[in-house]
Amino acid sequence: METWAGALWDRWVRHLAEAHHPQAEIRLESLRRPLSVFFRGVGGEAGRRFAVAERRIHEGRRTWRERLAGTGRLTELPHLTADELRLPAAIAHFPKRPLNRDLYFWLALLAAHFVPNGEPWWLANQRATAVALARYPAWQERYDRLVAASLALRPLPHQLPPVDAAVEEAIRAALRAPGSVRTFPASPRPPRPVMLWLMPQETDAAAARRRPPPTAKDGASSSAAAPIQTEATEDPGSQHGMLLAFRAESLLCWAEYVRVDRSLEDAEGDEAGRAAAQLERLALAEDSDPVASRVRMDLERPPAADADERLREGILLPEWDYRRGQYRPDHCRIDLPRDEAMPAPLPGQLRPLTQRLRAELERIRSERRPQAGQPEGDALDLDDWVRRHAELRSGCPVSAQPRYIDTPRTARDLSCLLLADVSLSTDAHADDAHRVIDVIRDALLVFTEAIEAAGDALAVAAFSSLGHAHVRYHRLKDFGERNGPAVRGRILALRPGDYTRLGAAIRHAADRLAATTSRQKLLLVLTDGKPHDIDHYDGRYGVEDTRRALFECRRRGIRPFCVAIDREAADVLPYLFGHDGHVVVQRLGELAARLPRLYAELTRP
Amino acid sequence: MTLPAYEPASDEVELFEHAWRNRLPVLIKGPTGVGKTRFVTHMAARLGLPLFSVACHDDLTAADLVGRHLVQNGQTVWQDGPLTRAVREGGICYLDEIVEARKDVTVVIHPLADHRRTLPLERTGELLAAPPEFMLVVSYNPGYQNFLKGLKPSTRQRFVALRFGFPDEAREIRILQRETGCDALLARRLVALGNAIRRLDGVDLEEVASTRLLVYAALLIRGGLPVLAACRAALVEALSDDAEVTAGLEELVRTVLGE
Repeated sequence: METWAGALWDRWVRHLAEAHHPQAEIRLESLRRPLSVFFRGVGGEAGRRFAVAERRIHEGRRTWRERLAGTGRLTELPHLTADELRLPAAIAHFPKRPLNRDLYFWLALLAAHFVPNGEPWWLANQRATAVALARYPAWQERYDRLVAASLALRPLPHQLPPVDAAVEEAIRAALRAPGSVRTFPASPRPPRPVMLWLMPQETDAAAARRRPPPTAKDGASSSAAAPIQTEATEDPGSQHGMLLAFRAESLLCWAEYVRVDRSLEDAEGDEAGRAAAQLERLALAEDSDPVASRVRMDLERPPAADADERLREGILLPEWDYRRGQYRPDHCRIDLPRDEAMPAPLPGQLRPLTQRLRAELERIRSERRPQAGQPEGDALDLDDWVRRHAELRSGCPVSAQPRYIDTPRTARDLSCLLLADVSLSTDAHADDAHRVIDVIRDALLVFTEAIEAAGDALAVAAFSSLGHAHVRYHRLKDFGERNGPAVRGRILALRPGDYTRLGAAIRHAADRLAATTSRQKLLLVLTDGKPHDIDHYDGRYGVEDTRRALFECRRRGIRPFCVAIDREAADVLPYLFGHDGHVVVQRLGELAARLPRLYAELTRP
Repeated sequence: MTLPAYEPASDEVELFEHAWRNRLPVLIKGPTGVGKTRFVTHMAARLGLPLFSVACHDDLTAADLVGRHLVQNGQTVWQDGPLTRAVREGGICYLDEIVEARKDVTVVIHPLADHRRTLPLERTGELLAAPPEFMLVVSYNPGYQNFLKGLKPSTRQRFVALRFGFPDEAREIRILQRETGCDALLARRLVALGNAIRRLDGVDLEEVASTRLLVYAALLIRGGLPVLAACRAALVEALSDDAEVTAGLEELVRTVLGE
């Protein structure tokens, strides 16, 4: 009974306290793409991504209702980081959906005009607002509506203590007439967050170090009942202060800086809970020093030692030595790792994109184009018939065999092999939550699904290497193999390997592609860097061998095309693949969507 | 005859005239709807030459350009194609989107595009020499990367090339006002919208708003259609089929042009 009443009370006061209208809620997920289109269109940096803002504690003044309900402390405040715009996962402040939706677009518009130049946050937000509204006067009306609605949710100044009231007055004035507030009253605590503004920007270093925020569920499971005052602080060890900013005699309290690595020793023990409960203040800081540095060494042998070493068994391939101007026969061996992956379904978050791309690529398949002048077909080629007839009359010698117009079912006769580089460099982080290898796996999954819809023959493989005798070639999908759980499982099981012996991988892929009977053969190479391996396969040697391998491809009627996911590789790509034989994907997040579209464009009949 | 209006971007008019005087063929490259065809029409009128315009497509064969025998009243008659007529009459032959044409087309344009300036008519056995007034102009859109298509370097190398891009703001405002008679404010806002959409090039959109689309939108608005509806029809839906992208584009329209 007690718990029931407690729960009821809790629900009631929460409802009272929070301006929360679930029926009018707009979720960031549903608006992510429209928002990013909008953001770029109004002049936002094209590289900036949209992410969910982490929940943070704010010390701002809460209403009595919030204090009563114990809410309003944790908020998701919109803010800019070095390369992301972080917005709340959902907005439900206002009772009407269009207003909640407008708030998202307003924040995107504001962010596009926000210049972090070290001004105080209340000045920077006013400036950005004024610039945005001056540039897009049509927004004024919507902005005014948002201001009116958000002011209605803020405490009235006359109900606040004088210090807070002055701050509140200033914020109200700044919202109503952006740019008008030039001085901001000092206040012992930060004001209540302004939902139409962006929070002060974190420093780049802090943003880079921040780990993914704990989810609400994690918080709920913690056993600490009493609120512990935690605060985020700078790691004192990382500050190199030269100036003593306080006088030691006036020390009022004393605290010890003890370095405890909570990211490793984070046992949910009672001991830690008790220790924390005894502390008045608990400071958490993040530092960037790795606990232990892993050292990886591969001995690089001098080139002379293995220069003429000839391997004996396995799948052997030659390698081009540009210094000697000749091949080293049987110099590389292809390892075909055993397929041990468990079948797996397509990850749920990829389904919407996959469906959209499948629909796009199906159009390619259904494009049947009539071909005139065929020896047989559905209809008489009238053009040809008239010409023959005319020429017959005018005395030209022509054969009387009529020609037809045929609409062949498969006008496309194309095989494509997608070769992905999964060297160790793909273990690097693409953004906070994803590594490059994750992005590549997603892209491979989406690509296989999408190309199946186009009906072209497709094989997918990945490679890495560790010296010339170990070029691992993972067959993810063979030509003629049906796409299904087995293929997906193999792609999902991909792990970053070692190095990038591009030439050998391309030669082996070309062998497989050449074995198909298709008229057109396309070799798509997805890589994040330059050719590189331990045994002096780098610099000019690696580049020249790769170039030679690509030259061999073209001579065998295979068209290579490179999709590079690293801007730094861009300087060698024209040399390897030719000016129109490569493309650099600037934003990794778009790789999965970009790859099939690129394919469609490359092979459009 | 009135000159079709054309607002030069830089020195393309002089370049074209020089090319014509020196009997050099011209290649114009640039995205859709930036005025390539309008420029050629303008130049033909300016130089007082007849214009033979051919929109190339993937079924266009050499015979379509050169000509063919037809049967008329029991007689066979040779019918000149547009290219042959341009050579005979001494005019400009404009092949729009040349990469779309079949491969055999390049065979007939190569001898016309170099010092020979001849057109062999295989079927009639003639060898036409082009008069000084004749000029070959081709255009294509280099924006698409396509394996199976593309202008061969051997073809490209025969032409004097001009690159067309989107007009700058002031020039585009003038174009909109002249083409549609709309007021300066609407023209300025539509151009601002066009430039906003152009920031999405290659990221969200395959092709971005051309001047032509802006002209269409201005015409619809001048005709009395509400601004949002006109922009939705002329720009948003014309640019993308993806519902999420069009939602973002509509917000852009509202932001730049208002409710």
